[in-house]
Amino acid sequence: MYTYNIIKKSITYSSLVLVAALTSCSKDYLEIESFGTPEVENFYQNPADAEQALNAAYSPMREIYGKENFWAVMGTDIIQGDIGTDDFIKGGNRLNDNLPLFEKESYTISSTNVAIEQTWQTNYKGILYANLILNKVVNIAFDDANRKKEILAEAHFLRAYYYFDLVNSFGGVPLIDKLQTAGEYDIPRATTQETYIFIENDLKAAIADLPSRFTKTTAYLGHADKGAALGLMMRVSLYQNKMDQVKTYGEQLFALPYVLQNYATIFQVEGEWSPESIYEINFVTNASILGTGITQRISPRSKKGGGFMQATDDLLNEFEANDPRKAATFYKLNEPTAYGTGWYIRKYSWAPYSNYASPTIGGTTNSANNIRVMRLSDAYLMYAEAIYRTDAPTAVAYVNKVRKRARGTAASTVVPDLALTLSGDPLRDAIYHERRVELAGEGYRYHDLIRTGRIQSVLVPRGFIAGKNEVMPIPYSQVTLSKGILLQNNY
Amino acid sequence: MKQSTHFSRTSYLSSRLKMTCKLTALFCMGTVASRGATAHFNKKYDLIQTEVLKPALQQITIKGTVTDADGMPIPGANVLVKGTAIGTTTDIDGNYVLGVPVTAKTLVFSYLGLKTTEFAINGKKVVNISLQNDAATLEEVVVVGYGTVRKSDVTGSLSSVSTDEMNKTQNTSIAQAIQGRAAGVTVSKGSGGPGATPTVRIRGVGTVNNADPLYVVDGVPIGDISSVNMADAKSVEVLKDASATAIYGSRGANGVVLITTNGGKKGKTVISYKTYTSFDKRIDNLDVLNAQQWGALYNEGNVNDGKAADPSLADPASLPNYDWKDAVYRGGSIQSHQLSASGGTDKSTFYVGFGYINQKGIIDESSYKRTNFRVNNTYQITPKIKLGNNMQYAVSNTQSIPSFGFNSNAKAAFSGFFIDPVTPFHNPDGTYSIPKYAAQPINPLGLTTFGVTPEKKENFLGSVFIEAEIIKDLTFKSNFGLQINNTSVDNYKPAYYVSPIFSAPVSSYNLSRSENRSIIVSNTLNYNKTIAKKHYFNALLGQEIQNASTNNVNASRNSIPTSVGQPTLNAGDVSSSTNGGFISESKLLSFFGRLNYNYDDRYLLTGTYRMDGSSRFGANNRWAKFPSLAAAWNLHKENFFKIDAISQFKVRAGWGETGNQNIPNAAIYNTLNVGTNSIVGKDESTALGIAPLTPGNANLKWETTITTNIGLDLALFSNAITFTADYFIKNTSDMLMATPILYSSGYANSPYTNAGNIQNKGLEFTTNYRKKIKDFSFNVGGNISFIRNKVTALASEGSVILTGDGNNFYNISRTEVGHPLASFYGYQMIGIFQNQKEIDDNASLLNTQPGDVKYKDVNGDGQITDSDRTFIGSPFPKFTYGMNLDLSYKQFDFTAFFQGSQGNQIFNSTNYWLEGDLASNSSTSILGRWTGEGTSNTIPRATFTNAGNNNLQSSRFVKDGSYLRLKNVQLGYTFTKSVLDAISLQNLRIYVAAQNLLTFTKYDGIDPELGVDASQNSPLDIGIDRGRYPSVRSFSLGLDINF
Repeated sequence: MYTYNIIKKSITYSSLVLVAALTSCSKDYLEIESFGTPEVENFYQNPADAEQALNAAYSPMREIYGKENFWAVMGTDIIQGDIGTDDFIKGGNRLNDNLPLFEKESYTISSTNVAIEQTWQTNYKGILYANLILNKVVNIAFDDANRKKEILAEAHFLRAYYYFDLVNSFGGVPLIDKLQTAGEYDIPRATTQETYIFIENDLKAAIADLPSRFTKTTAYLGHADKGAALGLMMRVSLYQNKMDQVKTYGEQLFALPYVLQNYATIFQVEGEWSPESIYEINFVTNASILGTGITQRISPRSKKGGGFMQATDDLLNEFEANDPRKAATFYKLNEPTAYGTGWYIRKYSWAPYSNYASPTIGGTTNSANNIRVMRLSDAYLMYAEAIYRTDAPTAVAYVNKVRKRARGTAASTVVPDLALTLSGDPLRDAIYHERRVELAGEGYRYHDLIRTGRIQSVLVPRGFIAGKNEVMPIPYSQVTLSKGILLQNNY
Repeated sequence: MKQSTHFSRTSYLSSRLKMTCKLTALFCMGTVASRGATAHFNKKYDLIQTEVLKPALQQITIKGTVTDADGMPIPGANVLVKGTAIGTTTDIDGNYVLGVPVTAKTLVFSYLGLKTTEFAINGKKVVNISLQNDAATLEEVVVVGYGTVRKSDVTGSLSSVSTDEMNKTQNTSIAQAIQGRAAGVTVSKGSGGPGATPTVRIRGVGTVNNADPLYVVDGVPIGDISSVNMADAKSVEVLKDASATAIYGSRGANGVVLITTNGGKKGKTVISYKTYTSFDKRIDNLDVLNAQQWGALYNEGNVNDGKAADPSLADPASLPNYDWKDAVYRGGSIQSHQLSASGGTDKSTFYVGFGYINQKGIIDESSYKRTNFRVNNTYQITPKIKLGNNMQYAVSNTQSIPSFGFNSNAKAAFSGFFIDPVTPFHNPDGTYSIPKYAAQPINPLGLTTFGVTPEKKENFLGSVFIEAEIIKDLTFKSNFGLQINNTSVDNYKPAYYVSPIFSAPVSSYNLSRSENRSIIVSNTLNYNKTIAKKHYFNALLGQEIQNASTNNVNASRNSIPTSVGQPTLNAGDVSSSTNGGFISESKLLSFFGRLNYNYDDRYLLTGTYRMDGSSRFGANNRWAKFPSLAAAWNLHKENFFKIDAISQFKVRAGWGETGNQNIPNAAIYNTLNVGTNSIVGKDESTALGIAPLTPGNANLKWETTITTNIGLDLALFSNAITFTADYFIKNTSDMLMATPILYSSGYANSPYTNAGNIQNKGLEFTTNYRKKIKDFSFNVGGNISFIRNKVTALASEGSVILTGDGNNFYNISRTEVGHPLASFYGYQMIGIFQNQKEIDDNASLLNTQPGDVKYKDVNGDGQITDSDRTFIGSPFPKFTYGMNLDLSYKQFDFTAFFQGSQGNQIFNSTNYWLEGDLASNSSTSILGRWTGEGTSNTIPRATFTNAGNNNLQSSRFVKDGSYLRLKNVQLGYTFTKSVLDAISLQNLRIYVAAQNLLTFTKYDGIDPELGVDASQNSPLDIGIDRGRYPSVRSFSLGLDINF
């Protein structure tokens, strides 16, 4: 009985104490911080935070070509963009392999195309990350005021880059430059023109404050620089037919020490960040799993690839006889069961078709090929296209720079110089030809055809519907979720 | 007189105790059991004192044996001289010796649960007595939250699942065994794979959030019951309405499943061994074409499209045929061994259980093994204090084959079904082939060989408790529970190449370790009081803390040298190493109370109240209150109720609030992702990036469900017929949900919000009829539930929730106000265009030809566009049902159990390939396709180029998923006592059984029994068939022995 009483008492008291203790400290007891992650409210405090936020803002640009986003890779201009043009057929295993690409190829593009949806989603991710920098980093105190200016300028470049991909794909899109909170997400689409103005303003801010990579160490490579911003501004201007602007920014770009390289090396390992390179997105094969999936998609199926994007005879025939660029751009595989032309792109390929090793870490979609976003020869040709009516000789000279480089050490009859007297439509067509050949497989054909009004002759016979397929449909999920705020394109 | 009242109360409680023992573990029934047990001990101590005080009277000695109706001796039975306090209890063999005064006239024998029997001494010196079962006091006791109640005292809606019936099935998981056993409980299988966990829904889907019920095993709430051994379960109760679940407050909204494990009984030790072996095969509902049929169809497609014929298919009759459908299927098996021992003395009871299950799956490489140990003990350390423990250790090994993704191509169970039958299994060099024609499916032989994932789970689940009677009628109980789930994967894979998307260029070793820990401490005070014999009160006050934490790590390395015989992580190339890990934690703090009032067994009233504080919510919304109230009226106990045929007539009504807090632990915070990386510099080093993926929502608050329930319990002809009906309305508001926001926000994931309201309404009926005619007895029962689900409100953000992708169909399901959750959405197929005139006269897609699908122009604008999409079906059944038949004749027993679902629809996304893509293999249904005017109005013509038009997401792929399945049928034989005596056994039964023997369905996919797809990890992914691991049909042979 004595023991019992002791136990009874101790239970009674201990339970009372327990209840009391828990009640009194319940506030603390139930407070658990989030594990392993900063919170927005305590981040963006110092320059180190700003650099980390900036690194993240470059991430969506990489993700679009990256291993982790299968369908975004399929939706890039490098792959989906040129399928359905006179340059490339879809390829793959069979007609029905890869529905999203088949829809593009046959111009039966649906609003539920998952590759296109990823283009929309991933670019907006980049826009959010850029907006976070533009809205938060301005308030951070920096010892190095110059670096702060650069970071903000890089963010402007990034936002322009992401919006440019959107306006190209969809036309005018919702313009967001502030940090949104719940309830503020429904924003209607701006017009195409408003979107371009927005992009140009960002690029102007970027051009003003960005350094050139030639004034920085190699550790800076991958960051946007003045040349990248100028080059992007040239393209943005060209796509709006603002030829004066192309000229203005081209001249600023050409003042920087870029140099054309041996064509055959551009897409080799040694071509990364060569003096010809205006901007690249870095990729690497290592355990960080930050490689690109482009290579795997366009490699032949017998070489562990997806076999997509095979060149048409039309494109192959566009190359002049003996043009060294043809061998540097394509290789042929004779596979009995292959579906398609059997002509694959050497650009962004693995060994033995380039000197990039086939990835061993992280699987076949973890390739190390940097994405060449813009090259000097591209800028030369944009410049030539902008001025051919006003200054034909200079235009010819710029095209000839490209042709001379293509020729390399070969005889002058190989890819001969254009006649200095060439002008008007023949010059224009020569520039178009040069773009098609020089940039084959790099994802520009579709937009070049559309912006230069060659829809009827080239695309319509392939099923393209004028007035509709110039842009892609806004993702169905987004139109639905916006309850009518997001207006669909002509789909 | 006082003494006698006390005694009869003890007897009353004791009788409740006996049945309780049959149904519950002492642990959970805490309050009642302790009263019974402590009162019983009081009595014994009183007796000893009495005998000491009155030694002088003249005595005679009477001895004898007390047995039960079966002649088994009863230890611990009370023997009392009537009208006195003189008495004793029987020993372990049921014997007693009692000195009685010569004046004594009558002996009273009693034992819990047996009819108290008086015996006139009449000078006898030896009195042997057999106590009969006491039907009147054999009152069933059911487990409710933090206690037990007499079944007749129940005011809420709950279902007891018979563990006897459950154990007649050859299931490896308790959750699966519940299927069809209780009205209002829907169990569906996401996968038929070994060790797969089925989805359990109680009274519909109340939330788009996690809608799993709360499982409470011996008072410990746990998330995963896959480790709990069915053979250890003594009772399974399903609490359905809020008046029953509100005591679990924040976690009660989706219903509560209470599992009580076996305990020991005072008396002779019982040793039991149960075993069965089963032989399993696939349920095969789906036939595909052979090479000849397929080749001819392929050629027809080319002809229809005006395309050149494929020369290698020029002569279909000569094509070799490869039976891909069966390539990875095999005969499976299950072996089960269950051994247990239980018993007890006056002061302690024990139950020790051992279980072993070994399942070989019906698909290559898939298997499941589990070993369980359980020890349940109680110790009466003083007359008023009892200690106890329930401990379980389980270890399981699951080998699972690939089933990931929303396409069928990488699902090992299904990819073979749509591989063209002209591709051989292997290449000439012995490697796994890539299909020649079918674009998507991956060779299932390669998938199983290189995709199999071994997972080991170690689980400890245990609790210790102490119960003490502090003062008379007031019991204190403290329970400490702990669950540890450790999962480990050690996965070595050589280099392989099966397809472009299923390959590994180098060997790899992947390792992961996950530790989940959940601690619960609960303290309750329980007070019982009867006033003036008619007012019975039971009050419960409690407090509880729960803490759940997770800690994960994973690591991998590549390129293990082939010379390493037994690969380890360390054997891999260090430069290829990757690793990761995360931690999360959540806490709950709760206070709760319950008051039961019973007036004269006629009027019953129950009120509960619970307050929960959760760490998952911000300081302002942290606490929530969950009240409930229920009443019942036992009409048959009223004096005016004179219908003899009706032995029970009870009406019940209840109302209550419950909650849901199933959100990620950090949902309120604006967290940033460390590792949104990019690469900078010529040396291409990884630059650490930090950016948000999910917006936080500091204003999140509890989801609340208010349930109103009315019910009726009827019993006729001395309980030969029982009938229960319930009607409920369950309104969920402030539904917690990951609410989709526009991608233009830039966030990759959806924020959690209190997004809307859902209503579930339903009717449930359960009935049973049992009858015994001489040696023949039968029992037939059934249950049926009708549930209507509707979304009644959604906040403006996320007003339309799109979910469910599968095989080139995207956003198959749509959740919108006014419709059931996750309704199928798409075009309405209204037939096949039979001729060009029909095409000209109707809206059609570009390039449509006769034989193509005709869609409804819903908005009547003459075109088929996105705006013609509409609701085309619901995955929810109109009703689900179960039927049970038990027969026994002499030594034979027979059981049959049917389970079914009616009126649910399935979106069969696999038909994208099987009826929509000629390069893939097709189901034989395509033989009835359109080949000319009037030939078919359901299956379009063979075409490659127009397949896209015909394969639009439409009602073409929405199928009737109704089925009725003979889940279990069993025939057993129990040996007679004479045989048993000869071989010294207490009991011996052998049986043969079959699972899933018959299926009645019109569904055209692999298996209609289809739930939430486990590969999708979304509660809104309901009724979409992507080709899952099918159910198995098994034949078993089993043996039950008691020593």
